[in-house]
Amino acid sequence: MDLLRILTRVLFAYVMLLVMMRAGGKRLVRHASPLDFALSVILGDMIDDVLWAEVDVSVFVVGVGVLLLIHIALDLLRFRAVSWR
Amino acid sequence: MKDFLVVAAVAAGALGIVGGSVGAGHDTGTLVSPPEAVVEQFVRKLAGARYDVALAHLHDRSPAMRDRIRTTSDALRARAGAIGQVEGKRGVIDGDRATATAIVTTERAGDITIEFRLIRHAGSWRIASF
Repeated sequence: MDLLRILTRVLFAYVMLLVMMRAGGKRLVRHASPLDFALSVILGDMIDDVLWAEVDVSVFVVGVGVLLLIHIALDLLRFRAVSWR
Repeated sequence: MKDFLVVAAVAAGALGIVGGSVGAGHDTGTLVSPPEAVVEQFVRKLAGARYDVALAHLHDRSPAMRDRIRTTSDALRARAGAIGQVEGKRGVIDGDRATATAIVTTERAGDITIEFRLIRHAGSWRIASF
């Protein structure tokens, strides 16, 4: 497989993950919950598939996006539930 | 709420870049799986008898084709025994059509070569015949 193609995929996947994780708000490991850790492991597994072109990049984007959106939505719900108490 | 919107916007932007690259840029193997990767994945799934997942790589997903891949997979495993390694090799890409080869390294039958023809459908390569 062409090295240039691998390089492009690596850059694309890394920048996308970086921006999305930063947007997710948690930057330090000590702020992370067990669910954050589980999400990191899942994302780490997903990036492997896209680097070796086993899935289209669009599939990776949708997978990562949906996972992070669910994660953020759950965080929002948890925050609201705590503030209602 | 802002985080939610930013992540959705980044995902939409990334999909836009991929769409532009595949649609307007005619990308056939950088942001989409190239033909050799598609056939390699397909044969690995056949070797593992994962017919329903393998079907996702085909252009024609009719029940007849599902039966055909089941028969092919059974025949391959009966002939070859344990399958050690699968390697996809690039053939020729001509517009929305391509050829690729999968070389299956087996325990009993040595190396088996399977030829594939692929069609590009909605930007992704799908197996048309093998």
